[in-house]
Amino acid sequence: MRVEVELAGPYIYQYGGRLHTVEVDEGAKVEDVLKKLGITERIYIVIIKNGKAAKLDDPLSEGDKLIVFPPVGGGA
Amino acid sequence: MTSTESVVSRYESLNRSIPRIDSEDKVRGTLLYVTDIRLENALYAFTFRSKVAHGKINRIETEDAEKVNGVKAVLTYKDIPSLNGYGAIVPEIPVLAYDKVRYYGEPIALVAAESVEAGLEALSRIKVDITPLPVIRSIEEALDDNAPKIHEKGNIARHTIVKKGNVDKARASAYVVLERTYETPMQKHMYLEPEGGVAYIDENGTLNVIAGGQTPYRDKLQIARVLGISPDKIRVKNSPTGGAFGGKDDVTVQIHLALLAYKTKRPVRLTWSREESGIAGFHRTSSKIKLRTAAAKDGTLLSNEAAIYLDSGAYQSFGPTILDVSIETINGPYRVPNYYIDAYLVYTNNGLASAFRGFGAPESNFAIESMMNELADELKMDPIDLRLKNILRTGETGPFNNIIRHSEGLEEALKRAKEVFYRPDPSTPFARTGVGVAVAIKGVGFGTLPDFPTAAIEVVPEGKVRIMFSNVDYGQGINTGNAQLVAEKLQIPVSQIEVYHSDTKYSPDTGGSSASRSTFNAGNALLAACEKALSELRLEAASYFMTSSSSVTYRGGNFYYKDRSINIYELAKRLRSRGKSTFFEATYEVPRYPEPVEGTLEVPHMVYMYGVMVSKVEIDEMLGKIRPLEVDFIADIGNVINPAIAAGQIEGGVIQGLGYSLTEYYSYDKDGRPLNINYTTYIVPTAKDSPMINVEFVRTYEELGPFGAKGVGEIGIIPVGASISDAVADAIGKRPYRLPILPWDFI
Repeated sequence: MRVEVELAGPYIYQYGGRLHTVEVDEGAKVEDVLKKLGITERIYIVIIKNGKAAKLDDPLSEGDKLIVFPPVGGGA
Repeated sequence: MTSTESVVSRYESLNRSIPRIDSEDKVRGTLLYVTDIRLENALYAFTFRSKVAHGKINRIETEDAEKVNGVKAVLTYKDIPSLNGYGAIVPEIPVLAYDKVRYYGEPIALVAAESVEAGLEALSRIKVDITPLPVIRSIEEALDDNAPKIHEKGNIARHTIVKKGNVDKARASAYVVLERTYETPMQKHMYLEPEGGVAYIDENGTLNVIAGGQTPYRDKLQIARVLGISPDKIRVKNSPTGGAFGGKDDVTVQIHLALLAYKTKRPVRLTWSREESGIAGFHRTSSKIKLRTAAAKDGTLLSNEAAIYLDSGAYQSFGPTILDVSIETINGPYRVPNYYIDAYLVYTNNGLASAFRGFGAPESNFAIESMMNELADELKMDPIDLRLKNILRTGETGPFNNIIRHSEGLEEALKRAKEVFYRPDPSTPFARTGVGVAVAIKGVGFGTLPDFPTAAIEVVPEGKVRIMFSNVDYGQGINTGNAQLVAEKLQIPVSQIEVYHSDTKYSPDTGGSSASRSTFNAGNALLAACEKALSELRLEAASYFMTSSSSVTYRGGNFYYKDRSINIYELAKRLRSRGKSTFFEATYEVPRYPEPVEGTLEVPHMVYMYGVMVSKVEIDEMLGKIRPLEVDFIADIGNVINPAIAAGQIEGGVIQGLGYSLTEYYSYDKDGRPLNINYTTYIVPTAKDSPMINVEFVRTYEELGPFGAKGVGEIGIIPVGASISDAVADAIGKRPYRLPILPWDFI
């Protein structure tokens, strides 16, 4: 199945661009997408699945939209 | 005074200067700050710091310290379970130094002891052998080809170029081209409450860290990364905080506290002294900005070329995104069709620079707004007219390809500024007076970075509505503002609202308090949670009335059907009696441009605050002392939730900016030792130094904000340097290019 992934912040430059379509097996979890993209961070990371915070072991479905980025910020 | 106070509001709870909901506790002294927290059996923690600003660590000896009676732990880098690094953007700041030290005061070891005396004795027995290396104290030294490298990769933490159009062509056709260099200093936050906290492991095995911070959920992740444990095993709670201003946005004491409690299995308290805060706390990036700006004869801006250098100190912390804000604000709120921005974040041995109110904007603002004032001189134009000619209007495409929303507030503010823009009469003999102006722009929130704040409300049958969010109220008043927003939405009195905030155990992740985002983000998330609550309660009311939900009306905390009514608390009781929840949580997706401009991490923003500051100063001809006489600050912050609190934010920002402009400069000696680390030597303005500050808000409404609000925290400080500098130039006929403006620079 295919999952749409948007990377943000420094990840855009570290992992080859902002938008990615990732092919994963049925039953795949969020962590499998990170592995496919080569993202090794597992603690200091924010994952949004279809508009809500997600965890590494959350299951995925065809067409899910993920946003993945480190929890940085801007402005004081 | 604030203009909105004289306006008849259509809201019940908004546009009203109700007292802060925590005022009484503060006035009575019953609010518990972190040093008031008493933990049974707690150890006292201390930090062993480097006395060398740059050097190679050869050996760390702790054996003698460990022998001190009452000492329970002496920790070095060898005791860190997982990653020895933290930093909001790049985890390169060592939790405890291991191979090198890169600034004076860098932590090398931690001590936890049964008593203060034992802890101090242990500190005195730690021995460190360090081979000193040459100290880099300035941006110029850092960029010298022969400079020693502070980090293996060199002395440039980040370099980026952001450009548009053709500046060479634009400059060639210009009537006037000015090239100037501007400098701003390191500024200390000087919060009244230094960094501190407590930590303990509770009966469930959860590691609790209670400290003065700004972003509990991110702090939790940083702690987890260092300890190598699941974030689910950590709770971060923010204690009531006596000021932060960005200086507590990244981690300060939290990881050290967590590490000590984790290792000793005992409660631990760690509070930095004022001097420690001066030495090891964060400060604002100093800057050097070269501008070459071109304009046509009628004042139309044609191009802006900028070389921006920010001194990040020994590590990055928020430096990369601070640089982004400097880039974003270097064109001001102006129509600049051609620009070339060459921006550097540079390492030095000058302590730790990081976030500070304005976050890179005051640095750029001093440059571009001073430039605008000098261009007005060159063109013989009124400086406000020059700005009115160049400001981006609503619907126009901005320099970073963003569509400008609601700049009519800025136009109105500029027109209002013209009415107060006149030179004051000298009030004393041998005094010169001047008037100056500057405009500020600052984005609300994290620009193109995704932001999904979650907040919750709970309707309690006993007659209260609990609101929950993770933003920290460190003095800016968001607890009160958010309570007013929810009161307005639910049409209930503010007195029925209880605020639960900044605790990862109880508050959903709304993010932290930074980027003037707390009202916008938490407010919108809370309003979404209210929508959910009202929807569910309406269904319950319809069931109670035995009618359809569309037949039910809502007003003032009650649902009505014909001549019958039921209030939300009775409905909550009915829901709970059937085992249903009265807790309603919602996530708000902050609108953003998803694609950052090439070369940036998060530029542009979608929503901007604006401010115009007119300042009047008097300069003593004999002593050169600059005395601000009066400040008029006209702000566009969207709909104003609480005028008194908002005006307080502006006034506080202005006074902090006056220090930045006239007295404050954090500095180091030739060996990299900080020179002014307390209130005796680092001079912040007091109430006695404050001029009359007239704050006005133009009436605007940002549809994306909660009830039309934008943000307010940072806008007050941003234009102060350029405005005061312009007033000084008007008084003495010589334009300052460096902050702070010191008498010996121009007498």
